[in-house]
Amino acid sequence: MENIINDPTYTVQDGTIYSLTVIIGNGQLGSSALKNFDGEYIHGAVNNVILGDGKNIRGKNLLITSMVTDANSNTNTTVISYKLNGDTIGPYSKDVDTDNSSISYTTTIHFT
Amino acid sequence: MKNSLSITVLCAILLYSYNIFGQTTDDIGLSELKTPSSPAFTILGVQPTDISRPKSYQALETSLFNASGAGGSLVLPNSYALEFSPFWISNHPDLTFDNYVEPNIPNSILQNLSISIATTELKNTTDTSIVERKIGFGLRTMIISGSLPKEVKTLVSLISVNQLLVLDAISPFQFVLLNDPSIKTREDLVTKAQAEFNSRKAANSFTNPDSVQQVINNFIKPFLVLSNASMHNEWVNEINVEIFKKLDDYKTTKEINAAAQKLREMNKDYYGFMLEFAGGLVLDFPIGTFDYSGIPKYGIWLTPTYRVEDRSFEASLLFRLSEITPHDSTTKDHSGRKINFRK
Repeated sequence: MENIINDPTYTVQDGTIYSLTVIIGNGQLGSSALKNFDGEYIHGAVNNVILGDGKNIRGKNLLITSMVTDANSNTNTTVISYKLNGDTIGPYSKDVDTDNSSISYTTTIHFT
Repeated sequence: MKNSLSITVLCAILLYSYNIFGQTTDDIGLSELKTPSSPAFTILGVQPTDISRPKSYQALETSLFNASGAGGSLVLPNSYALEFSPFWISNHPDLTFDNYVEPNIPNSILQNLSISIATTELKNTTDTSIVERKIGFGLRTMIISGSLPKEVKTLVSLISVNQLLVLDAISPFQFVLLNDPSIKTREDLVTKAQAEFNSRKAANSFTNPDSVQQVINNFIKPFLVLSNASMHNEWVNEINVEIFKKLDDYKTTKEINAAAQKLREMNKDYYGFMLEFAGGLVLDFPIGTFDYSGIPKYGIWLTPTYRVEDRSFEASLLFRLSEITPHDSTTKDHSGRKINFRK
């Protein structure tokens, strides 16, 4: 299994509350895990997870680990993207080596 | 109930007989009363063994370029066969698994659309010095996909549980390495990752913490014991790169693969009402040049099917409309209906 590492930077605004959604595309099947800035561990589907106010999360790093499995017979490409409020980080994509196998994505978002 | 079934079967036989005896059999065989999997090949009457099936724009371009002749000039290749799904040659980052397996009608049409193209050549019947070239174009799609088999939920659950087992076990190691650059030894890494895991466990973050602990004990720790890393960045590499390479051989990953394989095969097991459409035409170049062409044959197939949930019974009705225009300009119309029963 290959682990795709990404380190995107995201600029936040004071007074804006940010929430994160992880989207596994191409009809593939995936799960994610992260520990938010309140120390809460969240895993499974990540939908609108509140990260906090921009002024509080600036300078912090959010680690998100995901595993995407090739469950779609039409394509071997896995694709993942991260939605922060209305913005999209990614998409990042990678083909699996063999049918039915998985790709891992480790993404650390640096909030500035 | 029995009488009703008998009448239905009788109707099917009558309709079937109508098709056998009602059509002009010299031009259209009984096999054409099935929805073709590749309409271009069927309507052209070829069975290519070498079919190009590109799954990306780049592969499609390469296939077309290689077929187009030297220097990219427009030359109609002989015995070329291409089949591709336009929807799937590009990424769809917002297409979730749920929307993929239970599409609405527009998405079903797009997701299931398959285009086929084939070429062939033969000597002209009146002047054998002339090579006649033909291209077949076809498309096929599923308008209504039916209902999702119930087994899908079981398989999705199995995959998700196993994915989380791996993520829950590896994530504490990644987390402490990201947040603590002082980690340089194996003992320090394992101690701090275990403490991170324990704190998550204390917060009831895991459904089955014992299974996660087993992954740590039986897979991650033995892997780390074999490592010669001694610097922080080397441990980062071990956890973020090397350990994932070993995951393919781990039993949990194999269980994920096995369930995913079953899931990929589930598209044959949809049940309820389904509606399939296919169409194709032949473009004929009787004197072998692009200056003169015609459409001697086309066909349209529409197949509504009903399949019961346990897949023990299936009924399908086939509507087919086709037209053949031989070179003597005689036009023949064909249409057909057929009911299939599978028990």
